[in-house]
Amino acid sequence: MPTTVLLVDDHNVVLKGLRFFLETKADLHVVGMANDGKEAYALAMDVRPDVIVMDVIMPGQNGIVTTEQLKKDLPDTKIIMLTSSAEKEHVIPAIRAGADGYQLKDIDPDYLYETIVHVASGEREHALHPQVASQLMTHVATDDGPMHLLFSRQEKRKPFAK
Amino acid sequence: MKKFPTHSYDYLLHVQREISETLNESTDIYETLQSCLEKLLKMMNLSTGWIFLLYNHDDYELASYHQLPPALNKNDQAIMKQQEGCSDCYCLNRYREGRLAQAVQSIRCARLSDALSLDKHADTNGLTHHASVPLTVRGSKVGLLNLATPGMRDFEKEELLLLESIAFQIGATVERIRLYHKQSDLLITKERTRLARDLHDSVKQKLFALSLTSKGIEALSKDLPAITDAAKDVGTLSQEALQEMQSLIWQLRPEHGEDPLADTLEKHALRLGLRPFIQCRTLPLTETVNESLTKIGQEAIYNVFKHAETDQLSIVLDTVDEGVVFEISDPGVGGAFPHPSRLGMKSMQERAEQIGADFTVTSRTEQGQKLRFA
Repeated sequence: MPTTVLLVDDHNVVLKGLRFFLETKADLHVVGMANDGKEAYALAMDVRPDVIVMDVIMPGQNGIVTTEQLKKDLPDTKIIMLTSSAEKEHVIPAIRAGADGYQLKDIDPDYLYETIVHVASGEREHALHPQVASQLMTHVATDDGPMHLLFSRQEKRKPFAK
Repeated sequence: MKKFPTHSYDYLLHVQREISETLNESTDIYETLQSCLEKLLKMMNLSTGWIFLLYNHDDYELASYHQLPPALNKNDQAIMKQQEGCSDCYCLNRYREGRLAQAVQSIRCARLSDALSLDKHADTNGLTHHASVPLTVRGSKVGLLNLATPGMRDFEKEELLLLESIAFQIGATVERIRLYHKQSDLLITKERTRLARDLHDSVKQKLFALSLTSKGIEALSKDLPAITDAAKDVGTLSQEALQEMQSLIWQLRPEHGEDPLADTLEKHALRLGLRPFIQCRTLPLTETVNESLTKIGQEAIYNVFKHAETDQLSIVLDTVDEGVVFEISDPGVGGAFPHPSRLGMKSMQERAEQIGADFTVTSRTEQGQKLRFA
């Protein structure tokens, strides 16, 4: 049984490209496409896909709110955010809303395929774009940040050592 | 030019007209002031003149000058530009302190005295005094127009009126040109924001779709190697275009937020997949300094990404002993010193010079690298 996938994006050109590419993979099956959050919710409740690939910024209801609702009503469906924004204002709320993955729209399509397959089987591997991962790391790190990785505080303050 | 007696109505009107025309011609402040100064000197039959523009605090600029005596002109007009010791400049001081009450006042030139005290044979063309004409707009001090000629004569009553009216006009022109540039900066920012949004909303989405489609074709063309190869090329090209677009959008976007410098640099580093530690104190820097530090920071981050073979770096902006220190360090391979003439290093050097900062590099092979701007 191939993994069923629902695609959500307000750009039709992206939806079309995604479907074309993912349909070449024998283990995936695109079961539906939606242009905004409300449509995505109704469709997902109907087709109950294994995975949803969801844009974040969409007119009407955005991807984060929709993810939160769907995670409540379809707890078994995995949701991967696919967006062009790696801003912390989007990354952190999306993860909090229950997103299982977060990829950016400059990703190599093969890598996106890997992400879908891994997330569908419940693995965390490949779930986050490296940029998103480092964004999360920076903001989860303590007040001092990952400074200890570099130099001690003492050393940092020293004037130029010859 | 026709010769009029200096008090004649025709003469005054003629000068007034010429100056108005000159001031009306351009939006380049230096060009405008320079040709206005030259015309004024010629028409008033004076040998020498210069214009100081005043900025906040004690900052001033020699905006234009004509036929300075060798004593003032040597070493690129060093004595006219020096910030240290300018507290001794009588005309600027009296103007700043509001003690230049009259519209035109004859003042002994402290810079000429300085030049003579440094070298008693300095050639001053016989100048000792100059007339100072304050330039103001809405009561605020914009600059000072200084006029001189050997054996400085007293101005006639009509000439004083003329200079006063010209001073008002120059003041208004300086204001006009400053507002003009401010307005065009605003328009540029607006346009850049629009461009970034358009690129993001349409072009980037299409490139992503293109890269997906080419991968799809690649998968479907297994038995047709020529098509597979072509699809691969399309895929690679669209990926590259996407990356370039991403960085273009990023460069175009004006940064907002409480701490634009730290925010901008952090995003830049994250975008390159680096793990930055950024600690920037919010300091009251001027826009120019802020922009230069941003550009320097971006360049430095890119260098770490490209050459340092590490994904860690630290950027610190802080105050040390009343000065500002901007420091970029990484624990990578170091070794930039063999190539200090590389373009990136050079442009950082130049930007540092523009804002009057000292730039030092500490770099040892295998021991990381530190750039410091103070």
